[in-house]
Amino acid sequence: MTSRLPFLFLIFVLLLVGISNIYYRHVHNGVPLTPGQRIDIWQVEAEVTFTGVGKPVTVSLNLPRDRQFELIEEFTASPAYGVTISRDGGDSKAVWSKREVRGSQTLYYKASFKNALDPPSDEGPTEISEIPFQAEPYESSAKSLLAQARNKSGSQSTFIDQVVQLINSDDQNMAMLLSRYSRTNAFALLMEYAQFPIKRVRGLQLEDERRNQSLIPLIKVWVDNEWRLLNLGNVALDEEVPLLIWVEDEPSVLDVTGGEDSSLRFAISKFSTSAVREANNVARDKSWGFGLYSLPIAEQNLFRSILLLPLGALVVVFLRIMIGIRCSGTFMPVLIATSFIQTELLNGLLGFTLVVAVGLMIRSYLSHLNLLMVSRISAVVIVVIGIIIAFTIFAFRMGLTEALTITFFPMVIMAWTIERMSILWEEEGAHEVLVQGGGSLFIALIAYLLMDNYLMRHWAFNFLGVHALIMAAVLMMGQYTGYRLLELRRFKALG
Amino acid sequence: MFGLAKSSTLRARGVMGMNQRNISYIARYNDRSLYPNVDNKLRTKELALEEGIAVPDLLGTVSYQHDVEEVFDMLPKDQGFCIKPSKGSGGKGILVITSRDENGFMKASGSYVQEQDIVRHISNILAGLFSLGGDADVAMVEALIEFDPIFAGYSHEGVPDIRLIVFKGYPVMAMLRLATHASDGKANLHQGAVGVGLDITTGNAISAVQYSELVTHHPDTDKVLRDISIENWRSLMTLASKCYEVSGLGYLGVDLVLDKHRGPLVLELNARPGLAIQIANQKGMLENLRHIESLKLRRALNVEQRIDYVLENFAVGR
Repeated sequence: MTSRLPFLFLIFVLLLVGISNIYYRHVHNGVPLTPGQRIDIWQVEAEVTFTGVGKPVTVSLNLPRDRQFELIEEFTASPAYGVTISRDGGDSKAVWSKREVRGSQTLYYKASFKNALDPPSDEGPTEISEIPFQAEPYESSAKSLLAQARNKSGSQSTFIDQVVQLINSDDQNMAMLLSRYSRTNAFALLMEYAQFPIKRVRGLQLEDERRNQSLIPLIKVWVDNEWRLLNLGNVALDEEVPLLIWVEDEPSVLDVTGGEDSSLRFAISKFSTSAVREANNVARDKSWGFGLYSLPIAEQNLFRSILLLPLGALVVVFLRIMIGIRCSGTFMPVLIATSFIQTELLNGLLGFTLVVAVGLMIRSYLSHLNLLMVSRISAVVIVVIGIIIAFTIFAFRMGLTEALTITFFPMVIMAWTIERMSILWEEEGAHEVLVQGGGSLFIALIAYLLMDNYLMRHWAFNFLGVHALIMAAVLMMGQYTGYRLLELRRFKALG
Repeated sequence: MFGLAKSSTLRARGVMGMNQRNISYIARYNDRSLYPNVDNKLRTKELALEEGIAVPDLLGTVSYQHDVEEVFDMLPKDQGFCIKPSKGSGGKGILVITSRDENGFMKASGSYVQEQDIVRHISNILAGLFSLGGDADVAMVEALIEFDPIFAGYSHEGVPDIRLIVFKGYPVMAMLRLATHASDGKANLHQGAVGVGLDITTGNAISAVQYSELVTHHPDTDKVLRDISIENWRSLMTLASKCYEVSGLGYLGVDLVLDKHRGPLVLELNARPGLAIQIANQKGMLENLRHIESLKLRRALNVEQRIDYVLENFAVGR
């Protein structure tokens, strides 16, 4: 026998390809393992308004780079403006420009975001800002506040909690600071004195159906090796609603040169979409994202059913090689199972049995007519069509609309089944017809149950790696030299 | 348990399963290009005659639909005959006529068929109804074998045949197949024929089964099966062994019949012989197959040397 090494290597490669494809599709493309999962998508619309004064205008809008969110798509709407969106290095902005602008202007930037699949962990602070110098009495107020907080705290995080409490208290020193600084700035100042790395950020609350929203100033403090987000302003944050960080440590969000009275407003809407579709939209945009979703819908649906056939083939291979069930026609049961999917199981079983039974009766008459085989099978095909039409009309008259699906049976396959069974009956007797017909229906039933399973349907279409695994299983079973289960019964007299 | 044999027991007794037969023997020792030698019975007959192997007489063939009527010129007036597809498998499509009288042609079962039934049967054969893969086929008309009276009382309505498994030219296992009323005169074990395991070195009956159950008497005639002993066994072994050279197939099933006048004849060869022979012999055949596989010979033995080897090494004490 030739070396098994290449064979085992092939199996190994198939398993590797299959598993890595599934892993990649799940983890990197975000295809969920179960169908029907939904994800939220937020559509954020930034509306920039200003008044032109007849001069050249450049509008620069900083764009969010929040690691917790993934940008799905973005576009701008702005009549007659030149637009560039640049994302290089630490800078990402949209820039509109126009030679001469007069009157009230409105520019739109729209973007859709979803939660990032695997957000990268936060980078630590690069440098600690220098201790700022403040005029008295603010400096001594700050220092005494910090001393107070330090006394009452045992760790870095409780220290920060104490500072936040102080800001909300009516302490004299605090009142002194707040007479000059906003609450956010006062907190930032205190943190700088205490040598905590901070970031001034502005965030947007992603609440559905909100208009005229503005960015909320917030502070990020580096404590216990992570950035802690603190809201010190007067606007309470809704904990339930996700927050999109729009800018970090940047002086301005919007920069308009050549215009007046500029303002920035946000509108947010949320919708949920199928996680599968969204994941495949992502995969399609990447050039190496190989997915069936790039095909037209009609072809997609075709492949949905074609990709179930490997599952059926796997069932046939398993039941024939490992169990030893006999059936008529190697893959006839798979085709029957495919029709069961269209007809529903009970209708399918009943319809199949009825058509074959009536077909066998008519075929037994045809066998007396001395026909050549080709014309006899053609006659059986026509008879099968006749039976199906008769059943359909009869069922419709009786109001059994479920029975109408009987037309999904492959007519030629049915005709061949009838022909084979009929020959089998003449040659080997009714018992063999029952064994093989029953075996075929049993295999069809198992194949149907597997092919109709919603998880299997989902995997077969969305994880093509599954087919590499099936291929490996089929090849391995092809080399199985052990006993079939039913052979243990057959050779009972020997064991 | 559950009416199943234990797989370890079967393995210990050297029982070969279907998967193992297909992968380890048929795929390995039977070159696919040689299959037509056995799948086409007309070709088998030609090859056998070249080697001087006795086969049933060929009365004629029908190859085309418009020649179907000519078959009646070939049929013997006073003798039985059988019509079979050249590429048939598993005994499918064989029509056996034992005699004819004013009622028409009498089948082995005693029922009658008419000329038009024979025409239809040949049409079916030509259209490929019985052939592997449904290819167009040729109908063969053969003289009926007059079976040896030593089997009188052992077979009901049909011709008993002897199946030998020949591996690389060495006969490794043998079985006599007796038709019963249940098998409708056919010698197929799964249809209810009795299989009698034969000692490969002596041709004496070892044990007998029907429907995979041990039996001691023929179910229709009540004759004791254990008494069966094939005479001239060595000549049957030689005949079977020669078929290795005829067909070139390493794992081969040879079906023989004993004709009253002409002695043993090769009925047909089979590239995928079944496994029921092991049940009839109450013994697995892997032991003998592996024995032959392990032989390291400097030059291939001829037929007589192979038979001597088998007689020396495969004898089983009764």
